[in-house]
Amino acid sequence: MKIKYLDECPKGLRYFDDDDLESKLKPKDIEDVVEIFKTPLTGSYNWDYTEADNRLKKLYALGKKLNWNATLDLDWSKDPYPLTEWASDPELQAFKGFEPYEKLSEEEKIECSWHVLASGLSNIVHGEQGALLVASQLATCAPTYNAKLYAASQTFDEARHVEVYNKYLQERIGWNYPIMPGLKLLLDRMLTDPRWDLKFIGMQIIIEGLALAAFERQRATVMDPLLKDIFYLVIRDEARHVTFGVNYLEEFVDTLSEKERDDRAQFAYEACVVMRNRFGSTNVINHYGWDAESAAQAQVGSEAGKLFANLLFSKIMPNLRKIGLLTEEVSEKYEEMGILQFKDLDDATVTDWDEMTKPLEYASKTA
Amino acid sequence: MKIKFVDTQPTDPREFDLPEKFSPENLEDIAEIFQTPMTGHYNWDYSDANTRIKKLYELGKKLNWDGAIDLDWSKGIGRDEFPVKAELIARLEGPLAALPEKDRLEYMRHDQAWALSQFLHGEQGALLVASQLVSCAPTYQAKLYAASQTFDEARHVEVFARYLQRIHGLEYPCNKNLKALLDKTLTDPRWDLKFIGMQIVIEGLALAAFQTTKETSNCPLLRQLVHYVIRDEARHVTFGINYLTEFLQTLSQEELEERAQFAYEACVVMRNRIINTELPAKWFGISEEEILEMVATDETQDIFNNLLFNRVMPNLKKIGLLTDKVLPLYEKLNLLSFADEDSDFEVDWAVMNKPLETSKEIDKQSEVQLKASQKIMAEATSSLAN
Repeated sequence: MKIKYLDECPKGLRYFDDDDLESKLKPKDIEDVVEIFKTPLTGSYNWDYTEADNRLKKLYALGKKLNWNATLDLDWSKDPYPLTEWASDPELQAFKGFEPYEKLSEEEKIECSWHVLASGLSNIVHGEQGALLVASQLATCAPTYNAKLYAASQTFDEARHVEVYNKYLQERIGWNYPIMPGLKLLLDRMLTDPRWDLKFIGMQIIIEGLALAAFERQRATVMDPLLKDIFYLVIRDEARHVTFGVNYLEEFVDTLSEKERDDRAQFAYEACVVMRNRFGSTNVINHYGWDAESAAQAQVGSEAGKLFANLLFSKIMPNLRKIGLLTEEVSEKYEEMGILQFKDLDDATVTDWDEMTKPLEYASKTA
Repeated sequence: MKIKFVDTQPTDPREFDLPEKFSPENLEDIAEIFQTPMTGHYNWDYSDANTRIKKLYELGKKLNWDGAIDLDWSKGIGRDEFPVKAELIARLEGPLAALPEKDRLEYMRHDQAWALSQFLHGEQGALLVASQLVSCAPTYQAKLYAASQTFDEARHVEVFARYLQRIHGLEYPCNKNLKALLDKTLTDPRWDLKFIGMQIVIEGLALAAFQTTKETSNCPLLRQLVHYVIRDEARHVTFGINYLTEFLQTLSQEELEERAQFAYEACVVMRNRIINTELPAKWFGISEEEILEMVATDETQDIFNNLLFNRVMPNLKKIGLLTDKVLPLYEKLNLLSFADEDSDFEVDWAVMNKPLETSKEIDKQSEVQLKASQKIMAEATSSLAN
């Protein structure tokens, strides 16, 4: 077991060379690259073990039933989607209209589309790793029986998500990007906080809410049918996770004091700010050596960027309202950010059990 | 959400009056808090080498049974049926044999509920440790694998809780010595120590105890249930041995000795201390001290208890925890004879990969394996007489 310890996360693009991939992945050549975090956990034994017949139990049962397997349930045997074609809809490119981008040849623009996708997928992998760590900590920390079982099923879901996105990146695109500073900041903050519900608010409401919005958009715009299916399968899981988060936190936040609740509301607000301000494709901008500020502005101002910002907060705000974290104090701040109006989009908080229960239907299903 | 926080685990058995207890408004969760400072690892490598750990993860995904669907809950025994096979009841000796049949049934029902309750609490401990391993394990594959094990353990907790509540309608609290071991394991900041306690010692012994349950149980549902659990546990033990063998090599001699000492203490607790003393006290008026004394001096019991270690000892040796310092201690417990058997490091992948057996196949195995175990016991007892 060779492990390289780092003080902070790696920076820079990493390539997985196709020809060399086989030989490289022999056990002896592997060196795991890790970074340490400390977290004082308050765990709970549950001595009750009675399964209330409620939403949580339903979600756990669904988690067991809809447990797809990336290696068996997706067809990886077909020819890979060519990297010489657009990675995603050419009309919805992140830097469309940005002058240095427009100067690129068609071929280079296509390559750029893969860089943007790889950067996005890499950060999805990192975010899913964060979700894996938080979900597993929840199995230890959640006080109730149903929630422990449910958290265990989510832990497994998150592992399968890390696995499937990572597999796609390594086998189909061939390079990955390090984690973006904003996301890392947020993960560090959540993973090291001793309050489990705070980790949970950050992960299940903010990051997963963002992920769900991002995955839905990506599913609609990416070109590779295999990747569309991956997004479909993950989205089915994420819908359960967000539902669980909202249901469990709604009850739990209710048991907190006003001061404790204000702390959580403030944290959620800060997380939203981080997510909005630092979630561009900075990796790609650096890779091309573009001017960071103007490129980021171009991305935020592009059609794709605007669409995304709206989608993002249309998921998060109604859920924050539902769990009771839109206190007066933070409501003003959200107003200033211009996103408070999303709080009343009710459909985001209504659970469609039929939708959540139906069998998995997607194109590249194996027999 | 009603949660009652308690300072120690509950001490009274519970009887279940289904189903109104299960409606959400009647439910109050009982929780007990523990503190554990953890050192987590982000993994930034994500390299998926073709290792045993990866194979075990793939198997974990594939053999992912669901207790609510894959077990036939209509096949549970009634509360007027003996929980162990009739041929074993016929051979009972001592005060239990002297009880009127109705009382004997009642005693044995409670006795099994007690044992299954300890499995249940042990599985909760395993769930907590496996979930912590996801954060703490440094390597990519171990994180994925640990997530699959976390889910396995949740499904084990689920089926044992359900069996106790529906079939026996009884549940016993966690034995105080098992609880002490769980506390020690769960609150230690060193993840590998948690892992040694849970994956090598507690799961190793649980595997042996589940096997005995599969052989002796009179209930087709329970036989199938423990068989599926055993299939999972076999992966867990293999993972533990493979991962720890590598990891412990990275420790200093002093760190290794600490682990060896801890494993030894855990073995002592598991061997001599997790005994149902309440039932004999209640029915036959025998005190806890007397029972512990009887168990310690009963040679047949001794053989049986030691047989439970036939997996744990070779595994401890394989991972390097039978150091010169602790060897004489195990010698005193008569446990060293197993140490040279094959460990679970090497496994038969074809066996691990087999589809899950049907209830019928499991019943057949149960008969064959019971005969084999009885033969081993008989041989061991007769060599004792010589």
